Amino acid sequence: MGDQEKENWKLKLSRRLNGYLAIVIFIFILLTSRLFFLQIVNAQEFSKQSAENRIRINPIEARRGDILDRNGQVLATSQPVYVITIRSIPNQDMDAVINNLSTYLEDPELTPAAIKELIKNNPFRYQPTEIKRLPASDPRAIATVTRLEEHRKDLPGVNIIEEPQRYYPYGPLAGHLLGYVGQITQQELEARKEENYGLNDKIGKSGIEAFLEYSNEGGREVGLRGKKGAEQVEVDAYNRKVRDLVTLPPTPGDTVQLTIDLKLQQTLEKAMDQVIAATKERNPKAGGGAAVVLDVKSGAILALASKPDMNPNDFVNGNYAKKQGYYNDPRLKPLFNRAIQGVYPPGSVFKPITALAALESQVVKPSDTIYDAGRYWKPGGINCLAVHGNVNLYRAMAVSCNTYFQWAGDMTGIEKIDEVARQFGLGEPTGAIGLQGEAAGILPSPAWKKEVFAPVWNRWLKNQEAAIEKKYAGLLAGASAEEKNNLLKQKERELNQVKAQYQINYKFDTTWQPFDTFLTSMGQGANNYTIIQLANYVATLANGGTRWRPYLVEKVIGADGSLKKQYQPEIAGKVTISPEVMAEVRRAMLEVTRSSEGTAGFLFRDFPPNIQVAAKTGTAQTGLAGDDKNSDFYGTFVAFAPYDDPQIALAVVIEYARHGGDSAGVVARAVLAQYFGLTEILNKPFNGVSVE
Amino acid sequence: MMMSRPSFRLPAFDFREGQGKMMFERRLWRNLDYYFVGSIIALLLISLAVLSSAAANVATDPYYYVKKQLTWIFIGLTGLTLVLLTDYAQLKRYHLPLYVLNLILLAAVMLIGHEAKGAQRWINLGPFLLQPSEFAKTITVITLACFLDKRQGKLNRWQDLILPFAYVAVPMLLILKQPDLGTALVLLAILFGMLYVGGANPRLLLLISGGGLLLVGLALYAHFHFGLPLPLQDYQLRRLVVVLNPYNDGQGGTGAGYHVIQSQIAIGSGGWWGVGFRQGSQVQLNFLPEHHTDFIFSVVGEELGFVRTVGILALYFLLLYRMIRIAAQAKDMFGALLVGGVASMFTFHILVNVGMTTGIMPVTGIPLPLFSYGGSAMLANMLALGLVLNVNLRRQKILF
Repeated sequence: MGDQEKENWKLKLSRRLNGYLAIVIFIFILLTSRLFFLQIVNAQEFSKQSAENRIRINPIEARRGDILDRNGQVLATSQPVYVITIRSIPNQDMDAVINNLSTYLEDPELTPAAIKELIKNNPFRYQPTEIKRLPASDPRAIATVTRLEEHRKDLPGVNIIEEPQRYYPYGPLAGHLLGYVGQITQQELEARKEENYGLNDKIGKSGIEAFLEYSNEGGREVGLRGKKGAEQVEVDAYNRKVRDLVTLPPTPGDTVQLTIDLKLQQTLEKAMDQVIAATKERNPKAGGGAAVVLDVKSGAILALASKPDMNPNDFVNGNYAKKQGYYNDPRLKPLFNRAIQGVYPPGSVFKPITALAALESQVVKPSDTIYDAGRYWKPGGINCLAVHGNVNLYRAMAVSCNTYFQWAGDMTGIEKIDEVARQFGLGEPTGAIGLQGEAAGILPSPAWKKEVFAPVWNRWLKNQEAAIEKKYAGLLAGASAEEKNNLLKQKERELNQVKAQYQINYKFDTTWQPFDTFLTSMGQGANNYTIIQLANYVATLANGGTRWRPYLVEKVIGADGSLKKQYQPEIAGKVTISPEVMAEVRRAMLEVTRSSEGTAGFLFRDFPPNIQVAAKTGTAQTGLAGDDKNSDFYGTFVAFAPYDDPQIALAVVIEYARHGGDSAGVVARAVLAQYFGLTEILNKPFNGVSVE
Repeated sequence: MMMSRPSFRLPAFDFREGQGKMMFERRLWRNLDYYFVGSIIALLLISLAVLSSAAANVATDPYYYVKKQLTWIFIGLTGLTLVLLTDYAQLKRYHLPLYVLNLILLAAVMLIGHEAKGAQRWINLGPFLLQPSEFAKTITVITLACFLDKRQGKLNRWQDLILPFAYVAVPMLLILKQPDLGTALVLLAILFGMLYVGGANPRLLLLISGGGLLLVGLALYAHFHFGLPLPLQDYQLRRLVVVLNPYNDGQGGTGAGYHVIQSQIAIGSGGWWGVGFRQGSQVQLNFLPEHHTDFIFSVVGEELGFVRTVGILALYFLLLYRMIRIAAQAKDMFGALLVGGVASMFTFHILVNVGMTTGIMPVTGIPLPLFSYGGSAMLANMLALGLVLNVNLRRQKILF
């Protein structure tokens, strides 16, 4: 190759390499421009996205306040629970993660398919799905959590959160009044927009849990709920916490102290359970019952129970789903708080009201004696249970003589009876503080009777008239002029006939009849009251005429121990009956337990002489369709003690019991023995009931 | 004319040239391109520092990968030195054996290869995995240089280009079969680059590359809209098109687009000066996968920022600029072709890798030369740089 040729290829090569260099320069300018675009022009946007990747703000749940009894015993608390959740992670094989999770959980119910089902049913697609809840107290919890932690690498997206869960250490005890907490609903969320609730929050659903959930009283926040805290954390691509950035600690909820006495409540419920079980053996319809125990000097509710049981734990740990059949029983309705929502015919426990009215209106003196031949002698008079012979107030009360009280009521008149009943708070909610959904009951009166039955007969008349009009409209359409005349006359006649029938029935059914008074006087008829009303009326009688508003909450204590709210006894009304009259009726009620023939004579015979119990039994016809009026009764019982300086009053109902004394009365005996610390009496079984 | 007496002994043991003179003379060092060597050393040192951050959370020992990479750098430097010992011109004699060796290695992958991440690219050699496709690039540069050297001045018509294409197509198809689309494309880039340096008609090359790109675009469009069957895995194709909009990957940016999105977030959040060495949350908290291998450039962007990142690009540019200069000063066309091939390989790698991490190129799994962790790639690149240095040192034809 010559020099010329050599120079030639060198020149060509160099030209090409210049072109090559130009391409390389172009590439580097392109890349640099792109870097400039990303790192300088859009730096802020990408920094934001980077922060969104790694920074999470997690709420820290506030510990919900405890609920205590009057002596500081814990009735509702929160215990730590491990919640295992899963969420999908980009670029991860979720099926493998689910399989691993199922393996490490070692729960035969949580198969991979079951876990997938849970994820599918999660309404919030971008939120983690809860797979399992393990109370820290469960011995298997630590083992499971440790196993999951050890295999973290195989479980991206699986998270274990420790959070407080509501726990009711005594299970169903006082369940109705404590209530329960549950997941907030969409409606609750909207109704409480101002109160900073979140989608996954728990909220008090019933009882005290709902009553003292949260309130803002002039800028001061009061309630069990407390205030959530928050933590800002840095997480990695597997959503694991790497670092804490900022933490705002939560404020625990307030502690609520109730007026309930745990020991008394336990005795009450235990006695009720045993009495109801025994009742069930005789009458399969049995199962229900309710009781209220009040402090007569303040209206404080010392115990309150409704049967069958409602266990609030079922509503926080998911057992509810398994017990749906029990909770949805259409007849027993365990969720229903019978003590305040159920209305019962009082039966003979109403008789002291009749006595009060009769003495107060001075138409009857305590010593007035009548002769009971087994039936009130006036037309419409009702049978007595026995032939009692000569009875005055004391004996009539002791033996629960129907004839005497029909006579006394008849002498007094319904207006006076109603007035007295109303003064004692019957037929209207007591307005108890801390209880929601109280029923009013029915106090029958002439006005009430007209109000209820007038529309019934008016409706009947309208239907009859409409039927006649319709019938003749058809007939007249196809009739000749001659026939028409006849038909019109016939129609007129029929209408008059219906109207006459209406007037008779209307008059009879909307006018107060003597037998209405007879029935009311002895606690039958349309009388229907809640158990808390009965307890409160007895308490009012016991304390000499002060009707307190029953209350369930003693005080609210802040997380720092400060007293946030104190509930004071509140007077709802004072009765105008003279003290002497009330004293006479109380004495008559003492006869019920002291007299050898008293209906509750067998119940308190072994009580010490300084603790005398005044009481009244009741055995009421249920008045329900389908019940036999000769064998299906509600056993009712009211009492207060000690007779000479009353402290405590109570009312008990046992559904489908044979007699008030040997059912509800037995419960009352146990409660009073517990209240007065009569351990000997508590220790010995009585009528098949042994509470200690 | 370069070799006055043919020798049939192995090149490594042949220290003589011409009339019994030592081949590697001290005075060869006078030709050394210090900028070229300097840029290599600078890039390697910076890469080790970046790797110490990028790989800190990959293995339990934060320096595990740094140590391994350092070992490979020394192996690479040894290889580079061995390449320098003999005049590159000797390589021409091993044209055919090298070509066949290349095919055997690639075929071996298919038969006894080790599979990982859905591809079969490695041969298990006990202490390490060998990736023949990395060496295939360097070997192709050498064999193609031999091939084109003989065809100087005969590359003007399009018919003339059929043979060179066929020549490269054989190893390329073997690589595509693994499947390793990225490396196959590198071979194409090498072919185009060397054809251009070797004197092929530039207009023809432009036409073919433009037409090829258009054809690929149409094929992809047809595949995704009309279901045209293509001989590639669906995930590879999806990665190609996702560059248009990474959020449109069918999973809201958590599927095939995830890498691209996270990489852009990493680089973008770096700003002027970076979030700080070993402070990049995208990398250290694993939001960005493969950050010590294919996506190591994102670590540079996030932790070191625009200024330093451009500085590193400048080092690469210096490296390429000096290569082009070395090619221009080569004593013969064979040398120029060798250097041109290596330069094309490097250029393409840098363009595609940096382009991929910044979201302007599809994700094809091409590492950043001298930076990404990977033994085979490091050794193959060092051998390639050794060739360039060989051409540089032996640029004078006549030594005396």
